Amino acid sequence: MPKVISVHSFRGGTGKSNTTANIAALLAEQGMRVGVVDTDILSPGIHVLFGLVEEKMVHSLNDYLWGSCNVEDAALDITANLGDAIKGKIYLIPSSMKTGDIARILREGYDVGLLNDGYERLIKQLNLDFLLIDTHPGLNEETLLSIAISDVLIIVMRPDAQDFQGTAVTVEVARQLSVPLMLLVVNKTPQIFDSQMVKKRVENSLRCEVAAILPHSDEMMALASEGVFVMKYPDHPMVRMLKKVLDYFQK
Amino acid sequence: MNETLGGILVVADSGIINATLAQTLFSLAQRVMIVNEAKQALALAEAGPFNLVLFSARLPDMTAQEFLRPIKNADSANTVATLVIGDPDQDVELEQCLQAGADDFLITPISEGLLKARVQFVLEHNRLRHQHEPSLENAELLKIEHDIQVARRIQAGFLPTELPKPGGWDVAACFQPAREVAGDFYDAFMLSQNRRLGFVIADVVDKGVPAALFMALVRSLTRAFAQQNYSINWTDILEAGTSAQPFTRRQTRAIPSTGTMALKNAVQLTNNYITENHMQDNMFATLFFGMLDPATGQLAYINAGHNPPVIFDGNGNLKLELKPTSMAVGMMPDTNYSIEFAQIDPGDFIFCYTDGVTEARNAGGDFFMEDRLFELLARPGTTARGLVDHVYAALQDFMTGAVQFDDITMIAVVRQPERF
Repeated sequence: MPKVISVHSFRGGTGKSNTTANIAALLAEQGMRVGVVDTDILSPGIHVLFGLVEEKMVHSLNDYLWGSCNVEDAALDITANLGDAIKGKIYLIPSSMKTGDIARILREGYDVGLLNDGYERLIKQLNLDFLLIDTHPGLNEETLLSIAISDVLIIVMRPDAQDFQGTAVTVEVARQLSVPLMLLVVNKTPQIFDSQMVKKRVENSLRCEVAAILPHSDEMMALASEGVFVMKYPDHPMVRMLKKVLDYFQK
Repeated sequence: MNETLGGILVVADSGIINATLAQTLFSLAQRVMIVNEAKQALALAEAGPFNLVLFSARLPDMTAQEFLRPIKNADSANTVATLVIGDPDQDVELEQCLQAGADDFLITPISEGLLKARVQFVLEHNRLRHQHEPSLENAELLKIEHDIQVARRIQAGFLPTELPKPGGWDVAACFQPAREVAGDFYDAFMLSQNRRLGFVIADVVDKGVPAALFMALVRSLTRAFAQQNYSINWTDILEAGTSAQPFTRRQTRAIPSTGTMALKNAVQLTNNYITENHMQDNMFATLFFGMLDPATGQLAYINAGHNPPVIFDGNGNLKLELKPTSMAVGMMPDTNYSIEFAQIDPGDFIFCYTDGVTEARNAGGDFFMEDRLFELLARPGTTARGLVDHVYAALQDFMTGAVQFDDITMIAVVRQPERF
């Protein structure tokens, strides 16, 4: 059974897109066929991690939403950009970076129902094992819809008071929407924090499974989004931690 | 004819109009005034309207022409007939009176029959003339008639001139108001960037102008709200807070798919608007809104109290009746219109109609009824136009000699059979 995984964070800058890209790469490395949809239409970015230059975007998610192509036409096979280790496939459905396209979304909106049907069609047409949805931070309608149809919701947060409060909102919403599996990933944890303490504190206050406590990493910062971390640093301890996240929904 | 006669004013002495002739005049009008002097007659004419003034060419106090002039001048609408009576030697005077505007003349001695015939002729002539020169009252009626014709044209403009026909599908409609303007309407248009065909049929309670005005409102609102991209309701669960029942996975239907928000917006927001702004008018509309995916034949729909559209298969069997899913639009504030689904396979068609079809009556007062309609619909392999025309022809046949009581509206959406 193909699985839909939404990756969300209540606030920006948590490392949501990096987490999505890393999980996608790890799944593809195992031989899985993975689709990644950038539904962060107002502030797209995940294409940068996958080394996709703007000129190569023939179609984007926007074109699908406006009816000028089928959703699978916007999918780009970016497997080769991640090196030779990948046995599976990664397809990226990027959002447009053109100012005019972003303005048009603001001006006209679109039928959010198209996303639901688009996800389903992508899984079928591209024969996917996993569909990862990189959502817009905060709660908006496409995010709610993505959460509602997901088998797994991964919420990325930093150990920060603002993130705590915001994540509590997302957790509550996901509970209302009866997401079958909800996982927290605490990211950018300062090295001086005791990760076991952090895990306990988060689990106690949010009453939700913490799948990983990822430390702040200088390597990750230095990479500066110019690649997918797990591919660049396969032996980094963080890769092992991220792989553990996969166990939660691959058992 | 008598009731059209307001009154006859006679100015002549008894030598001309004797008792017998007076009697004849009394038989022609409810009010007959006979006076000798012209001045007296003019005073009477000024006081009240007469249809006919009958006067002698030989008056004691003024000439016939002098008498006729004020009568004619006061009669700007030209509604008073005038008849002058002269002796055989008075041909000059008679001629002058005719020139001055008298309608006709009589020569003494006057027979009873001739008087009656001539009076009737002059009055009838006058009446006919006024049919061509409308009175103020008629002009008012003509204005209303004109306005209604304009309304009819504008209303016709609310109906789509061309129906969308996505590949593999055929759509046709029929609209026959019972009066000049109707409370029914149908509509069909593409939505979600041509990925969905929306079609609507609706029936406003009441007929005539009030229903037509309301129809214009409902039609415009549904069409406009269907084009709104914001969603309503499916996230209500969040607003309800923790006390609400959690969203079950079975409710995935509640999650918007392509076009379903448009569908829900169209019906729900129209209902909200009408119940908020027009509740006091007690108007409501039954409405069916179908949202079809032409690629798969999946139909999402809301049936707001409308008589069930029917789906027939390629073998002429009735597959499904799409029963009402909720109350009519405009009845109840905050009605939640839930969406239902149906499948239209290749060779199937969906037929929507208003109750003007099944409740059409023949001269004997019998209703057309569903059975007759369904029998007509069991005709596989026809085009949408063929279907609609076939039903309408049968209806016309049925209604021969009877009055059409209600608006008749139909829309047929046919999925063409798969070609191998």
